[in-house]
Amino acid sequence: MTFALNSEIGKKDIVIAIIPSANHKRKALEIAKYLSQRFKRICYVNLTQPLPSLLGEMEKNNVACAKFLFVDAITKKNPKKNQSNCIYVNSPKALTDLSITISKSLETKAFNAVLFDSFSTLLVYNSPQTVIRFAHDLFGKFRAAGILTIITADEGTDKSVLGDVSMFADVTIRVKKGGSP
Amino acid sequence: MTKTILIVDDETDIRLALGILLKKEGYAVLAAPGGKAALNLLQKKAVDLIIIDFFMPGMNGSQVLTEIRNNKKLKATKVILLTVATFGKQGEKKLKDLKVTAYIQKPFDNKALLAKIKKLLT
Repeated sequence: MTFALNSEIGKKDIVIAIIPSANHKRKALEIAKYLSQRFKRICYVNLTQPLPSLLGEMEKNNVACAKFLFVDAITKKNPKKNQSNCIYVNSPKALTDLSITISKSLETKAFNAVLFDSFSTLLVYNSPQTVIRFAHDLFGKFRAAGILTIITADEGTDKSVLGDVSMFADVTIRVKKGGSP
Repeated sequence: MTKTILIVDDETDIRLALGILLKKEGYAVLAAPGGKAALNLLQKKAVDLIIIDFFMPGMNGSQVLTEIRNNKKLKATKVILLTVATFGKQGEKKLKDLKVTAYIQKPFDNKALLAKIKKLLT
């Protein structure tokens, strides 16, 4: 686990982390571990893999799952298997639901950090223009919460969209394949 | 001499309202519904000030501004960015690099906007 943020990045900054597509899961896990080692309460917005698989990977890599509240838009709701530390959203296409759920979570829980994984998923389900406006709205919420926010994006993400969205962020980092940015 | 202002906004209501407001103050007004139309218009007409919205389909305000600053004939034109957007450190730096003359937050106050325009054009 080698992910680390530059010490110049502030505790309230909004960071876009561009990660290699081939290493996405591993790198997201590294970021989650990094955050769990530094913060008490983290909001993990999961748009990339089913929660059981994510939790399994986290446990296998000794990431303290108890520190996370998950907002999950990938895993299908199943009342018998639902996790208590997870709020489910129907789909990454349900941007209004996603926005409301994140807002409520930020308002009611005392988070120290947010991991949003991944921005690229939003572009699979929504038009670039919609995603840019959604990102602006969402980044505003993170900024108002005043907490460190890391938003992952795949290397292959539309550069024009990423360029626009990065204007609402404070820092963009490129996570290398092997190690820290 | 009458000063000319170009309004670039995809929202018809904003173009109309701003147009009425500025004409009342004695400015000549041109309007474009998007970045490409604005750049075409600027090839034919000289303007003293451009008011650009940030969120527009096609080209956004920052992209239009980049084109303007890269154009020899247009690069010194004063630009007001009219926006609902809140920018991060990266966005603020980019807009500073693009020499945005002033920002106005939407929804805007007519008096404040007119005062800013007057100050920029005198």
